[in-house]
Amino acid sequence: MTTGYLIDVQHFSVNDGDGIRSTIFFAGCNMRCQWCANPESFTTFDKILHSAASCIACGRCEMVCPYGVGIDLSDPMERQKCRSCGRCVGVCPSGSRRSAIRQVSVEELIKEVEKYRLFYRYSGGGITFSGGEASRQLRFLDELSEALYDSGIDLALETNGDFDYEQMKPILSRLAMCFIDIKHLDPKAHRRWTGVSNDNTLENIKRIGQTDLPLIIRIPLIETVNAKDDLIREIARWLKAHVRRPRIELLPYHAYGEIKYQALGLRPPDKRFATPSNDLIARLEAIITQEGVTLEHFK
Amino acid sequence: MSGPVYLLKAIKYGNDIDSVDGIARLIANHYYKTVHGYEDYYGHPFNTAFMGISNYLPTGKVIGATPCGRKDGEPLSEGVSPFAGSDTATPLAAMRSAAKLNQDMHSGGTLLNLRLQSELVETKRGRSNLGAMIQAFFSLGAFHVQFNTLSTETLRDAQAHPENYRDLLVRVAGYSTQFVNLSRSMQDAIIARSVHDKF
Repeated sequence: MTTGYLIDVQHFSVNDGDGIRSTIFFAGCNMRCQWCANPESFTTFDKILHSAASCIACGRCEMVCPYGVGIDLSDPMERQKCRSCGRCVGVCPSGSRRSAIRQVSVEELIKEVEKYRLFYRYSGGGITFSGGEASRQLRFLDELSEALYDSGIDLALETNGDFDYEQMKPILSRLAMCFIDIKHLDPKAHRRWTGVSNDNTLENIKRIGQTDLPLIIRIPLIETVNAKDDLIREIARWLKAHVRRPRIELLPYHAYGEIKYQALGLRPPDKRFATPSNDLIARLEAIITQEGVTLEHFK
Repeated sequence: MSGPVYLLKAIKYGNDIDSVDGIARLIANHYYKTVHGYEDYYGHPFNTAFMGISNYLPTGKVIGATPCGRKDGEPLSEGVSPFAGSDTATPLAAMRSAAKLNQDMHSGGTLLNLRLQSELVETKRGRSNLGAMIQAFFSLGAFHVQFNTLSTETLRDAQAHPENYRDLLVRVAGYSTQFVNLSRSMQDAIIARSVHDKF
């Protein structure tokens, strides 16, 4: 029985493809985008989240902890002692302590999403694989997507594009839609912001762009990183030159992930990362359209 | 799981969990069987319904604290809607829970109230998804659902500045009315109905 590591399954997702969808967030990622909204997805190891806002300071977690971790797990000193055994999660009455990662089998996951089949059917929706980076758990993704495909569920993938194309081919062949991020066009800048070069991502976009699989390029739009006229124009031109049906969706940065950094005891993203103004977004959208690229909104 | 299970943390009706939804179904069946055994003046059996309209407020006032974690005097759940704040999964899960009751038995009506964030239905895509939700819910055997699509901020602001919101309509139960004309506790109850958000 193949199992995988997930951070969450979000039913009633309406922004990651057509219709009403369930988005499966895989754990583990090879990139470290400095603005990431899901920092609990960096690795597949479990981590304990601590929400200070809902904690009632009853101390039950402290009583059962074999490593002597105190109530405030957000404190770096306490976080250091935590081995993520999860005992506190079982006794916490307010749900302030939570496991970030869960291990689930293909069969269990299929049983869970099967409940929503009617909603997918009536809305033209289905399932989106997201993350973290779904392609990092290749065997699990392969078996899962095969079983779902065979049962007639519409599938989409949201990926950073940094995968082995030959290995991913069978999975790609089952998809109705594919979202790939371009975070920056310059490999050096890309490495600076994400820890990884974008050579492979761009190569895979070119390959998929010559197939019939509908491809949407998503740009996480961030002030100080990539929300610039020239860069967006350059990306649009590059896409037009290499992809048969170029389509872009802009995803303006939001700071909702910051609370997760706190819950994990991590340093939050750079304060200079900011949501671009509506004026700037409108200007960049106009540039994309001028370059002959279709602008998409999954809202 | 180790340790005791606390009341507030215990699984609740409204999240598509068969073990607890089954209890709701048992109680609903019992209600039907009992009430249906009596006849009215004309010799017809009484019907059952899950549509207390706004009676869930005054009824709650005279019922003490309940084991689910509801405090003394707080509103009860209304119709077949999950108790305010306990449907933390998704509106789809709340719909699936409600559809597990034998809806067609209760010919007086079954009332499911859900609140959606207004953004969800601002676009054509959003409205089309809303239509699909209703179709799917009805195909599960249900025959009534109603939505409030207001942002919590709007309602809180309306509580604070009623003079600016004379025309703000909310659907309370079987009827819509001006939010500002409702009692403070009724306003609070409407705000407290889970806001189902997107992620």
